[in-house]
Amino acid sequence: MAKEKAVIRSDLTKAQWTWLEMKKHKVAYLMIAPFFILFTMFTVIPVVLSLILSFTNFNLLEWPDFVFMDNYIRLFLDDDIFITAIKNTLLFAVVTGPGSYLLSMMFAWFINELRPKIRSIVTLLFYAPSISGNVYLIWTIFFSSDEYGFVNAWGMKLNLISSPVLWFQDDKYIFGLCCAVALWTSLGTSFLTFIAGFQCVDMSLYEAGAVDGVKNRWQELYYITLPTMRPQMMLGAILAITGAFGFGGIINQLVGFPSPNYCAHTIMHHLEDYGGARFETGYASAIATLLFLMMIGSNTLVNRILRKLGT
Amino acid sequence: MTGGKTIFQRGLAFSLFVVLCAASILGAASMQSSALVESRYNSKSLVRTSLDEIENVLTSTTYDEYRQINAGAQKANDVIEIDFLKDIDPETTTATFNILTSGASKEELARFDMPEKGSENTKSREFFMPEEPKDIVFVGVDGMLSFRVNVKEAGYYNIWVSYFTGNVPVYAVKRDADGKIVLKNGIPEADYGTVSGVGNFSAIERYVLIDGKVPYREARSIELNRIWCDYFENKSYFSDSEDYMKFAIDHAKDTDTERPFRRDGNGNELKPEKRLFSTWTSEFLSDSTGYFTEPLEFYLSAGEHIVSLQAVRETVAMDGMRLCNASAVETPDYDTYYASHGGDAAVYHGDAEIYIQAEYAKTTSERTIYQLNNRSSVYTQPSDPALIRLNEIGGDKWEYVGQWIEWECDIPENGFYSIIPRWMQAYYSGMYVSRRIFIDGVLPFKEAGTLRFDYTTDWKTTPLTDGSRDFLFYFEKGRHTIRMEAVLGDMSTVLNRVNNSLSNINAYYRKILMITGSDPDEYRDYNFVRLIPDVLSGLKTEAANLYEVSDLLTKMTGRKGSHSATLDRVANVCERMGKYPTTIAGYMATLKSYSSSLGSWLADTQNQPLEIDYFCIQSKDKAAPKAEPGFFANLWGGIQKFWMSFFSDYDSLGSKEDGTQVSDPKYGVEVWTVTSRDQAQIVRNLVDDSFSPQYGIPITVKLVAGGTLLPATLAGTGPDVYMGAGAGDAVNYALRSAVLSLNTTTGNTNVGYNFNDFSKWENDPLYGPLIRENKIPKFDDVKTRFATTAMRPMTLYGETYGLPETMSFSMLFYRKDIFAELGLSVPDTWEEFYNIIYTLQAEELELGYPTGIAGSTILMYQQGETYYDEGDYDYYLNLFRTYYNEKGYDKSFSNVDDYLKSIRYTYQDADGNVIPTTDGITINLDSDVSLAAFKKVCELFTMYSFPVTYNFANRFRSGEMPITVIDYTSYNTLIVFAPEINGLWEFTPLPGTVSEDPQTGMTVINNTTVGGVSCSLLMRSVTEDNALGAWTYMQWWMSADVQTAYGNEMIALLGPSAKQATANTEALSGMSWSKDEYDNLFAQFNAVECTPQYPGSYIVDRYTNFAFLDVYNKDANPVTKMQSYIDDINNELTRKRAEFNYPTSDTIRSMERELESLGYDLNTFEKKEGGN
Repeated sequence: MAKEKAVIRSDLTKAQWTWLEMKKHKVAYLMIAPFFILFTMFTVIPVVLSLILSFTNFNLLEWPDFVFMDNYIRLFLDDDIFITAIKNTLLFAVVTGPGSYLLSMMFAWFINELRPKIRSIVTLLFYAPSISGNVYLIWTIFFSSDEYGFVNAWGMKLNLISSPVLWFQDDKYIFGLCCAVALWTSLGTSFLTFIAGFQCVDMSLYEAGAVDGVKNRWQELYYITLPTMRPQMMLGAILAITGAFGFGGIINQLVGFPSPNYCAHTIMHHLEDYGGARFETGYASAIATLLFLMMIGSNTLVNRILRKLGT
Repeated sequence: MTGGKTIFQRGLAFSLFVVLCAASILGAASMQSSALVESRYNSKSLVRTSLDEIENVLTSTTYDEYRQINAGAQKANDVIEIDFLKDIDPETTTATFNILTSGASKEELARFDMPEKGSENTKSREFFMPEEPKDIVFVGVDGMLSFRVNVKEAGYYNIWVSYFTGNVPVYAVKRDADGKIVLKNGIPEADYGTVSGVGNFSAIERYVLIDGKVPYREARSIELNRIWCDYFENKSYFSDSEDYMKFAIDHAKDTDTERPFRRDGNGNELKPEKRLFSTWTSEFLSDSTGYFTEPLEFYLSAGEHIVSLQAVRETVAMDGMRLCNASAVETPDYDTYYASHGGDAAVYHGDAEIYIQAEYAKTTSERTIYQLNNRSSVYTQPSDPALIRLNEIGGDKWEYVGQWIEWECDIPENGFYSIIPRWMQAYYSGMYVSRRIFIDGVLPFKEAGTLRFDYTTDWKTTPLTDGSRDFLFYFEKGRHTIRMEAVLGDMSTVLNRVNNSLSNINAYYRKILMITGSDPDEYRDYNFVRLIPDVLSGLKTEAANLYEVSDLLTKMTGRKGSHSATLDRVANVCERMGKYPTTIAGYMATLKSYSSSLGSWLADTQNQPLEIDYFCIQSKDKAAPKAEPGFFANLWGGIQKFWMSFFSDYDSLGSKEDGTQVSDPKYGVEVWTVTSRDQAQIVRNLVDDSFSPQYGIPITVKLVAGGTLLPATLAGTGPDVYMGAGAGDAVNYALRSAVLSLNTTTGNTNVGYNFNDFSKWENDPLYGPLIRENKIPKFDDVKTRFATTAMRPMTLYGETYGLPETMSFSMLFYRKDIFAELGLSVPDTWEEFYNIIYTLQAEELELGYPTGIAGSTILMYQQGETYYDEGDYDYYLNLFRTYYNEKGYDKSFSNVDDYLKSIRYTYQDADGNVIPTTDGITINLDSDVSLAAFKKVCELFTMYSFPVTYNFANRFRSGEMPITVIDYTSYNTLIVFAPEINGLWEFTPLPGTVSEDPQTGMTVINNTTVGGVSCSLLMRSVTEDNALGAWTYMQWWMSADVQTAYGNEMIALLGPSAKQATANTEALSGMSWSKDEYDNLFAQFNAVECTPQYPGSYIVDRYTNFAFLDVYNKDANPVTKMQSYIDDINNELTRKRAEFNYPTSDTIRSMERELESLGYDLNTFEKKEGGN
């Protein structure tokens, strides 16, 4: 179908014009409606509501009072733990976000080089940890605090430690272990998208590249492969960012809530703490709003970086 | 320090080793003498088993060994009848008992007539004299009943008892003024005014002691079975009645039209109630673990002996006991049996098919055996695509050895029939289960004792077989009973051998552990060959034994599978350890995990689950009924099920069809519970059976997922009563006015109702009559049902926001056998506890204690310290009054007190005293006592290296951790998880803190423990109309009768591991605890403290845990660490209190400062001279 030329109708107001256009494309709207309604109900409205609630004092059971900026003021000026939480979140995000992103990328690239049959087997092997739910809990068995836990038992056997170490209860180890587990489980959806992305690249481009003087695989990767799979990379980046910022569940399962001395306390945890344990939903909403803004910010940043690829 | 061991450590280890060598060489000699010394100091307190008792009762001799010792002896043919009146040995008898002589009058009999609890309205089952009147002895659950017997012929005797299966009361013994027992005709006279004990519906358990000692291990686990039958309320008959049997026989083929089972509102069939069947029966004492199918034998030499029965559980009435030979009449083998009844000529060739529906059982040995619903096949009779039909019996409810089910059938003609059950055993792949069959109470032939049912995932209809051939059974025309009993069959020898091996291996493991410690050094030569040669040869023997058993098992099941692999693995390790002692250290961890997997293997393999749908008794010429439908029938059934699944209501718990309910919906009370479906159904049934007829208030019970309460309350669709809430929920929700108070005097229905004063509802048509008949107890009366402390977590400033449901607390668990072996007695005080630490740790054994604040709270409460800062009421009250008088207050209040009350600075308690709301304003963990307690507990983990994380059940069963302080509900885990150590452990009250009573100067041991509760809450959804109904429900649920019934139903449904930790003091005694268990439990129940809940309480655990972890991980100083977190805790308490407008430490400080600046003296609250 040829593209219709835009018509300027001076006899209609903008609203009337929109309505008219909508009627014309009602099938398209009908198609989008189910998703749109659900999206609005379960994503847009809650986000807006949370934004509003962040200006109130709300305990979930009684009607909220409007307190304007109190929550935000307290958050920044009178909440040491929030500062710790920001620090931890950023640290986790910096380690696990790019880390998992690069890992997915590298593995996808390597796997892409394999023969198709082997490729699918290896893909499954790498993807398995992230589909099998709470499989990362085997880490708690390895690093059990019991003297019969694998690591403790071996450590004591080899005389590395003299008494059992509470791996997931000692601030010295928690952060590192949690990062390791996060990276281990990170070969998830983005990893699959990357593999798909690598396979979408038009082979003729490589040929053209070779003719145009691409010297090695790195150049091929940087100038041809990556720019071609920018959409997949964008998706991967968004997943990595939301994953890195919302990285709380795994810590809860491994360390428990809250972590000793708040050493692995992220913004997510802070939010849970106030929203769940302390019934302070207004305050929790303020935290959520900030988290939301942080995610949007880093998304924009990543978007900019990705656009520079191959140029 | 994480590097290698220092020279110092190695030196220490070496010297320890030398000491140990010396100790073990002296071992045998010193052990005996130390035991004697210890027992002299034994306080022999009421609740603890003394060392002497333990030593008499614990024996490592097995039955096999016992029979080896007396190998030459024959079975005695003499019959020794015991005369209760003459033979009772007064010196060794410690039990409470009553004797009813044969000529007892009706009145005397009536004293022992015990109707079942809660069944007054049903058919009375009177206690009856046995047919030929004899003396009856009624024995209580305490102590030992001993008889003197004069043996003429030396040899093996079996013990036969005739007993009553119902519950019987036992009365206390009359004592004169000096406390001496009053004798009448040479026997103690009963005091009929005082009941000493009544039955609790569990199996009757006794030990057998010969001359004061348990002769072998198996004599410790003797059970006398009860008999249970179903009671069909809708038809008001018992399943053993003629009416019911007639129905079952008439309707055996036709299961679609008429059924005896009651149905709920949705049309689902409901399980009939299990009732104890009270009758006289007799049994030879036999091994309840099932390893020995023949009754147990006891060797008695010629001369006088004392035979005693030691009570473990339940009262019992016996009318006869004799020592004789059980196998006087030999059971024939099948060929003899076949020939003796006429052989081929007697085989039945007719067309009759006699069906027995398995769900129409007459009696069962246990109440956990009940009808089940099987949906796996459309051929199961009857079946329904959507609704519950109780169409089979058995499964995992009928898997323990000795459990039996009895049915009745009507045979048309004499002859040999084949019995074809429709059965399935889909539980243990590669294994088979066994049953034995009794026809009219007799095992017809030997092979009928080992009927075999192989693993199958489909239903099967095959004639009864032992694996080699199908059997025919001879029936005469008429009615017959068929009883099938779970046995180990051929497996009994295998399992017995493995069981003995396992206990030997565990003992060897402990012996090695005592040399090497739990962290053996592989590179060190421990010189095991010299130290423990017996262990090395023992390990080799066990290895050979296990290999042999594994081969035998493979032969029996016809293939090698995972079951024999487990045995081979353990055998392999034992063999290597025995052959190459240098590898022992390296194999210790493996041996430990293998022996625990061998334990689980043993427990699993002992289970004999079997599902039965029906029996068909028919001619051997006829083809068996079809067991499974064809493809299309199956498909059609599947389609029906799928289709119906759209219309079935799975959430609501239907009430019984004929439940009478008042129609007015405004009285309706909605109750939410977060348990399992089965438990919720019990609640529903109890409501229908007991609540509705009594009160007529309509109750809806809903089963919800956890975590739904908050969103539902937020959305305004919450329940009226919420059951099973955590202790913290009550106060947390109440502060936000979602949970209502039960005793408020404010009169404000947003705060709650006052259930001490029913005047509000007196004129209500529904409640009025109930109130006038005093059917609804008041709050203050209900409160007395619980320990005072159980109400604390739900009580905040005078308002109580819930009723406790369960209360559990830490107790001291210890292994009797290990304590006896080491000659230790159970610690009564902490001092003794610390002494034990050295002894146990010298043997490389561990101790367990709750970590951090959970542990130190126990010590704090034992010293009378509170958790939060409480009290000092006069000071705060004066402060508030002076401050507001000075600063002025809202003049619409007539005086300052009214004003203070309105701003929540004070409240009135039940006695009308004005009390400030200052309790819990700050935490008391920084007091000297608290800090000392915390330090002490931290030291247990840092200095004494108690393990922080451990699997209690595993270490307790292996004996590695023979003593630990843990929640008493761990009992449930041990009972099912570690059956092999049953009887070898005990739980007792905690060690106490010793102090001197300042008034009397006496030494007092305070052994308080810390408890936790769950509670039921009155939610804000209630209105004036149904509030009293909701209260009526809440108090009814926590009444002793209902709690007892619930607890017993739970055990009936889920087995002995489902003991309910009820908070109701009276109901606790109704649960099926043994006498000793109950005594210990009750002793501790009276010394429990629950931590109160205040705004912000959640923060305490968090920071105290941080403090403990810092101490443990970073060697921080416990006192300074705890102090550093006190501010954080207090800040959060202050913040939360400010949120709810309670006085905080900040407001109080500023008040004090202001008053001081105004010239007030804060001691007297008067203005100082010259003040401005």
